Amino acid sequence: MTKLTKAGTLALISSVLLAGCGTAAASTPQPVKATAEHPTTVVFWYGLGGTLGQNVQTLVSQFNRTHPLIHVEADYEGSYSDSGPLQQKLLAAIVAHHPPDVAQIEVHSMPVFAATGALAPLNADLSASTIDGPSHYLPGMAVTTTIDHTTYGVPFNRSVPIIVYNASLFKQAGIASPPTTWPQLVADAKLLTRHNGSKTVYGFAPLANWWPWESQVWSAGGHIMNSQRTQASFDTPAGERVTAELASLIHAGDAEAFPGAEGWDNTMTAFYQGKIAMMEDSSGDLGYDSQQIGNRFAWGAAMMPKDPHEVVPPGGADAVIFKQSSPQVASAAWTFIQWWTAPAQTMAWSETTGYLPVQRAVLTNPAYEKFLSAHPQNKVALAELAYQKQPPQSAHYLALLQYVQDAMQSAFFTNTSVSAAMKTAAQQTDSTLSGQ
Amino acid sequence: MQVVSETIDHAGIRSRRTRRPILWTPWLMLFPALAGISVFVLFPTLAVIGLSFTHWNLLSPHPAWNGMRNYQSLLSSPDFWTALLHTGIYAVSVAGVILPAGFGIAWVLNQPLKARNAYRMIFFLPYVMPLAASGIVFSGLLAPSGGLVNVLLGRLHVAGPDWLGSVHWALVSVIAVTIWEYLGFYMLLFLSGLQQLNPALAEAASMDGAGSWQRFWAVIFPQLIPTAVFAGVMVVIQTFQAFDQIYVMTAGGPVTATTTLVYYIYEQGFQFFDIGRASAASVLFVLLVGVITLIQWRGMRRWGGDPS
Repeated sequence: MTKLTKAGTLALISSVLLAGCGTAAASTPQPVKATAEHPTTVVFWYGLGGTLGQNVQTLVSQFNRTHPLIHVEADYEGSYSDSGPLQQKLLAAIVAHHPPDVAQIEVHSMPVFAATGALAPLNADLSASTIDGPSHYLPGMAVTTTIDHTTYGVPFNRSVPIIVYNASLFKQAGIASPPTTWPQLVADAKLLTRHNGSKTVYGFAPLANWWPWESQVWSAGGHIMNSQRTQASFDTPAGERVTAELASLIHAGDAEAFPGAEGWDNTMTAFYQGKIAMMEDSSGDLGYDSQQIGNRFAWGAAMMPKDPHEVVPPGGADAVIFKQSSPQVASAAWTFIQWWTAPAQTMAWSETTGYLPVQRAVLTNPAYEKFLSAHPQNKVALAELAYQKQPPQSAHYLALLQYVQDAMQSAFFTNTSVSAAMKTAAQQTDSTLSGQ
Repeated sequence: MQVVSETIDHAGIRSRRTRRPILWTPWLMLFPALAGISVFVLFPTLAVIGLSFTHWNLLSPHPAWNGMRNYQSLLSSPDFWTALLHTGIYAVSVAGVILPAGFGIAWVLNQPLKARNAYRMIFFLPYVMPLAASGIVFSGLLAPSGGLVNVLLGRLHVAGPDWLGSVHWALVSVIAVTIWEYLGFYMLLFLSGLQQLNPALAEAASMDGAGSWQRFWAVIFPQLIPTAVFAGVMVVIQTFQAFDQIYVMTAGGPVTATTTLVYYIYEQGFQFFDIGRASAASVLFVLLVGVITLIQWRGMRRWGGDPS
């Protein structure tokens, strides 16, 4: 075999390296006129799995059928919530300067992604739009989409936390209506809990989750962060009161909470099986709840209790467009978002899933009025909208929520008191906020 | 061709030094592998070491120098030590069951049994499944209500616990699933060790009047030590790297009941977006695994021959 010279070897290696680098240069998008054969492709990352994911794909297919010049490629990237895979992949993609064109952003994480500087401001698009904008939306829809006067998101699949209850078990216990305050809920849970040999029906199933926790803190007059958003402030008697009552209920055997990664799903399954009389849930699950419960028992939904304030956090996700997309792709992405949030689609999405219809116009649509009279549970989410509160807009808020969730698990499933658990979570949050 | 040159050192003594020409062909052959290792192992490792001295949450454009603060805060954090403890319990439990059980099954399946190849395949089968997939299957089997395990226990009038949701049972359940997954691999290791034994030694011992226990302890077991040490090194590395099954089955919970060191690193990096702290924990993790492997490597040299 002929021996290679130094120059020859370097030339070979360089050519391999250059060939590798060449791909990036060749892939620089050039504006070309979209045709039905070569439509503009919009990459859309979404984070709803299972039945909801199928619903997303159905709507996207419908869009692609009716918009031959645009092709939306909808990719499921794992859950968009709880620092889930979609959030992790998005952050990594932003750092690598290779984000998708459109993504679902969980409403609490909007400040995190806005802080990256990767999101396209939508103020001008919204002002020009005849479909999207606060004047078209239901009240409270814009609480999460704007950070420091710049709007980055459009309400996409929005929800609120609610109480779902088994009306048949309420009737058996002689309770006429669902609770409206936390003390009432605690009293009802005790009445509803029935021990029958080894089988127990629990009165209530609180979620060991940060989302309803926000409502618990606010409804009792607590605050999650200080006004400068430099310190945690939830570890106060007011901030802890409701969570402590729920922990006592669990430890006394009048409520059951399900731990672990599957905690929420297990709560829902136990409710469908009639093992739980009341649960905290998302209005976005109402469609699935209805499907699973069928005719097994009578059921209803109620607003999150107050104590004494009625305050709920927003939920679900908003849609964003990334700055890095070319003007042609960004325009196609904006067409897709407007189509999704237009009254016809948002109504269909709401009726199928239980998520809120984004547009005011839907509420006066006779078809939706008919849907609401057949599904009175969905009215509860609409009534709650007036009480939505904006969560603290901090880039570190997701870390705070993770610390709180760990604290809730400690308080619900071990002997740690709520006050000790929340103190630890507050210290961890403060340490993160101070960059230590 | 060799180039011979004469040089004169400071003492004025002439010495002959042989300069070999650099052979470029081997470097060219090595280039693909070296490039891969550099891009996917070497540079990321150096980057992690660098990041461990910074504060970075992925949001700011550049990491900020933080000195030793990440290391100080980790070593004074109870959560870090809890994760380390869970890793230790996990590794010792899995190794404590899987090594003797793997050997026992290999011993039985090395006997002239009917259909022993079918049994060998059955025991090895779980190892072929991706851990994430078997984790999902076991999450269903171990579900508190409706899971097959608790349904069967219910038939026996036993109320099964919430296997993956209870702070007392979650780690045990994850350990059990890991044992189920890896047992076949260790059986295979011991089986190959048993098949390499020199039968003449055992026969000679029999002729010298050694009983079956003496034959095993004094003749067979010493020959199996290299296999056992290798299996020990493997099980420690595998268990220290445990992540997939924990991510899928428990997400490190409930509370922190199944948070092992690698899951802790993931949590710091991708749940709390504290890349500096996650990198510092990774460096400590590598040091720890390095020290344990070194101890085992020395053990291998002493008892099991040359590991190289």
